[in-house]
Amino acid sequence: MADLSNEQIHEKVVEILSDSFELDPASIQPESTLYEELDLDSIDAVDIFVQLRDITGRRPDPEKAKEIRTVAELCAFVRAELVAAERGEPEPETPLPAQ
Amino acid sequence: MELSELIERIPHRGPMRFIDEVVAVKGATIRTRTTLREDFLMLDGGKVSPMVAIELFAQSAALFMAHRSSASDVPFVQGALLGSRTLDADVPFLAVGDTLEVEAEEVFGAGNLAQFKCRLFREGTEIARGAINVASGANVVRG
Repeated sequence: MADLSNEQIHEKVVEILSDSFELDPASIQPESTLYEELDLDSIDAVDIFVQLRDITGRRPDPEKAKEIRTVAELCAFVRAELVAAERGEPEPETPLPAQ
Repeated sequence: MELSELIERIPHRGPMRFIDEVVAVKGATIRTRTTLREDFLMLDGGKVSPMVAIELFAQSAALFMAHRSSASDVPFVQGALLGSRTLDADVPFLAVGDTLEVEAEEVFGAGNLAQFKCRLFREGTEIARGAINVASGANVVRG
């Protein structure tokens, strides 16, 4: 997966979003905001990051995941995770849940 | 904390306590065991729907969270099952006497949300699988 182009990453992200949440692929643009324009919620986000794990082969960093707001940022996150996987960087620890 | 003590840390009591014991916890995965008895809450005509796997998965996830908090200074907080995107079962029903094991892996957690991928085994054979989303925290439990 490390040799995926940015365009291929975008296609995979669009596929996940459209298949999981019955979104029109044409409505999913790089600048689309996940929570406002695509009307996703935090539970949907959990599903997204679990599926992205299948692409990156790594446990997503929840701190970085929380900062993502747009499709383009999601694609950049996948790219960064692929690079981290290629470098053999350790996977993040899962933090304890909030009180 | 001993694995046997974890059961007392989750809120399930009486007939709602489905899990008999924690078999093992390793990394992000917990394995639990239960035997279906004559007084099992979900028993209907001597049979139990495999849908009960959802609750077995949820209680296993709760036990995993209890274990993780026991290894830190952070107190255990109760949570709630939000739902399941998938549940596949290979058998039409479970029966009294069946010994079941759940393997639940936390595949992602962010804030107070997490997803567990789970598998249900009967006598060593995988018979159901699914994923559950859970939330934890005082606000979740208070509603």
